[in-house]
Amino acid sequence: MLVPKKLKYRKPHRGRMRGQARGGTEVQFGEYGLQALEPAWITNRQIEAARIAMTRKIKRGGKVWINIFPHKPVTKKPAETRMGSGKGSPEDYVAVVKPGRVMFEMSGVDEELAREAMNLAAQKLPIKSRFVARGGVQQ
Amino acid sequence: MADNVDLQARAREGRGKNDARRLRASGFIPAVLYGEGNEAGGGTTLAVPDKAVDYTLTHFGDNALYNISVGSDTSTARVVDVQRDPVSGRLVHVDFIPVNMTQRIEVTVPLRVEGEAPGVEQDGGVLQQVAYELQVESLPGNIPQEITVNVSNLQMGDNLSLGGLTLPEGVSLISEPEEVAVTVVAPTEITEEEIEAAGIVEEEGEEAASEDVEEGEEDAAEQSSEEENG
Repeated sequence: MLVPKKLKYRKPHRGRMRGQARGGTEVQFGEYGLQALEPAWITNRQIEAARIAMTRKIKRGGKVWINIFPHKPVTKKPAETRMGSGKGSPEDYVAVVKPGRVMFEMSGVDEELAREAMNLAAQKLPIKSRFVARGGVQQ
Repeated sequence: MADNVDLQARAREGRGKNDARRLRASGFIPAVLYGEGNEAGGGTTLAVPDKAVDYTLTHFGDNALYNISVGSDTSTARVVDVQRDPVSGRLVHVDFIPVNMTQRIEVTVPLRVEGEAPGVEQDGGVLQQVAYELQVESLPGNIPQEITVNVSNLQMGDNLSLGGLTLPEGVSLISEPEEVAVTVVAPTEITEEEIEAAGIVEEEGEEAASEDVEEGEEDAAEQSSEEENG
C-alpha cells in the first residue's frame, strides 16, 4: 500500500476541502482516466483496491497510472475511549481529492475495456466519479 | 485546414468577477487579445460567444484561426490558452494572439494513430502511444489539424520515432526527432507475487471488515447487557 516515506508532522489538522481541483484535472499520461466529482479523503486501502480491480480486469497489457498519493495522516482514538487525553494516534493515510481531479489513468487497452475497468475501480471509491478520455479533436 | 472562423466579438465594458459571471450567464465568455500585432497595444479585453468557440475547439482543434470582429475592426488570431471548468467542462476564459499569415509559427499538433499493427494482431503485443502531440513549425495557414501515424508495419518490439513521421508540405518538425511516438511492447504478465500480494491485501481488507463487524456485534451485545443490568 502507498505510505509516505517520511512525515513533517505526525498529526496534521484535518483542513477543509472547499472548491474544485486546481491541477491534475486532465488526462496527462494515458488515454483514459477516472475523474472525481466530489471532494473526499481517499485512503491508501481504497487506492490499492481500485488499482487491483483495474489491473485484474485488463489482465495482460495496458498500463495504469495512479495520480493521487496519500500524503495526509489521519488520527483515530481507540474504541470505547473517553474524550480528552489528547489527540489519537495516526491510523490511516489519505489523499485529499477535490472535484475535477483525475485520480487514475490507463492506456494500451480499447475504450470499452478501459470503461469497464474504471467502473470496477470507481466502485472501490467513496465518491462519485466519471470516465474521461484524453481531450482531442472529435471528428 | 478549414477556413478561418468568423467570430463576432465585442469589447468588454465592465471588469471583475461579477461582470464576468453575468457575461457567462448571457452566453459569452471573457477573452483577451494580446501580443505582437495587436493594434490596441497591451491587451484588448473581449466578450466572445462561448458556443462558437467551444464548437471550433472541439471540431477543428486548438490551432484553428479566427477572424475576430470588434465593431468595424477585424483581426486574424489563434487561441493560445483555454481555461475550462474542471467538472462541467464549460469554457471560462480564452486568450487570443494575433497571427501574421506570412510568418512561420511554432504550434503543438495532436498525433493520431491509424491502422492495425501486426505485432498486436499476430504476436499479442500491446500498442503504446508514447507521444500524443508534437511541436511543428508552419505558416499559420498550413497548420495541420492533426498528424496521423500509420502503424500497419509495426512488429513486436518495433518503435516509430517522430523523425519517421510524414509531415505535410511546408510543415517542419521542432520536437526531438529521436523521440518515440508509438511502440509495440510485450504485454506485462501479472506475476504470481503480484497476485499473492493482491490476495493478501484483499484478505486483509475482508478480515478487517469482518473483525469490525464482530467487534461491533460484541459492542452491541455488551451495551444491551449493560442496559439490562442498569
